[in-house]
Amino acid sequence: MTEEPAPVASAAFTALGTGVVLAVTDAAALPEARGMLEVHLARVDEACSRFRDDSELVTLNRSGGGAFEVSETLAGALGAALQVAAETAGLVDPTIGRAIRLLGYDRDFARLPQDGPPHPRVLTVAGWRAVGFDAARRRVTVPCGVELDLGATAKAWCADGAAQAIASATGVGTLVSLGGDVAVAGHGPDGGWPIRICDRHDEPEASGGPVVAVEAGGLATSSTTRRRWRRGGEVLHHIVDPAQGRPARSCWRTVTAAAATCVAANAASTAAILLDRAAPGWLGARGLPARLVDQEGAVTTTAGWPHEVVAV
Amino acid sequence: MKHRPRTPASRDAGHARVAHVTLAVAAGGVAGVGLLAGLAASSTHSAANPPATVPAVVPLPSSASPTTGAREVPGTVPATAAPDPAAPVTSPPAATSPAVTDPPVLIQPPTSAPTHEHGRRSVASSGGS
Repeated sequence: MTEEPAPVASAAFTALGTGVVLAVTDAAALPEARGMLEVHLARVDEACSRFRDDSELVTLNRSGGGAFEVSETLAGALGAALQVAAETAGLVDPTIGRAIRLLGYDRDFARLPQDGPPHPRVLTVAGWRAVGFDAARRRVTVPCGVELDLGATAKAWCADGAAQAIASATGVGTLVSLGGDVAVAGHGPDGGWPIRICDRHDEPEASGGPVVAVEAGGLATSSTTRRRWRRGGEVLHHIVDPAQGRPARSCWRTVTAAAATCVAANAASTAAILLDRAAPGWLGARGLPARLVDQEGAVTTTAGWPHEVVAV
Repeated sequence: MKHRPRTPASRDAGHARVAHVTLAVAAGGVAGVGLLAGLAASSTHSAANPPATVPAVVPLPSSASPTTGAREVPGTVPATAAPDPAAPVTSPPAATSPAVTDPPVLIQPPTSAPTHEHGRRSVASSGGS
């Protein structure tokens, strides 16, 4: 069967250390949309990067416990991260920064040595309640020794904000995907935005996952199959369990969730990895459609996610 | 206690006073909800709209530091015990300060679940990155 292309115009490029896809329902709006998206990406990179010496986040992490007034961008991203931490009871927690740095993930992943000596063990993660945050005044206090990492939520928060802003300004349906964190806004193509689900965002066809259509909100995938490295012979990955200060051990290798926003979908998919076998119940109780793939490739779905026949 | 028999006129006057007070309380409540909704909308707006320029992180005098543990992330009042992560969350914990409003729950389901697609090429992919 020949696949019909969706009636949209799109652009693909790289930013924030990952692949970016922008799609709009009117080709004439693509240049303006791309310009707006690049501005959003630049602001988030300047504010939230853990790998730029000149970013606000790095300055904050080195503040030694002082109070700082931060930009609206960092305040917005941090506010979202803290709310996600609250609603996941600390499963998705921005205070894992020191743990993930000591595990070896201390630079842009493309420049990370894939092997190295054993890492020091981080016994405790301070937890999101240790962060002082006055949203109205944009004042933040990060206690001495605590480092923030917004990697779990900042891309999704950026995708939501950019998609909404582009759709409002141009009046066209918009899809923004940042490393597989997908936000859609405005009136999309008939039948919704077709999105392929896969283990690896950079090899969508190879993993042979299904294509689903999304009409509104967000879709995100978390996976322990990507951003993996070795230290002392141990295979590590980027989804850190705040309770252990080390990569999560989960029966799920990949979880995709749909939600009202991309931030919510990302929070749900990451929390599901950490919840291990409790994940389907947690997702189902919240009415979150999700697709969970276990380590052997068996698929479990929740809350209206379309059923599929998968060869195991 | 001295108990006086009430006349129809005094009873009507009493009812009118009660109705007036009830109306005033209701109006105050509506105004309060409107104010809180406005604050919430303002907060959401600023979070969703990055500024035109990104100012550098600005250190504040030590006297401006928030009190340890004090935070104004709505609905995130520290608790003595962590909630069960597997338990359903219908709303964040209640705030203790009347000046702090609960934000809408962020982790909400979509308005409609994804559907299977057959015969259309995908526009984007979602996978581990």
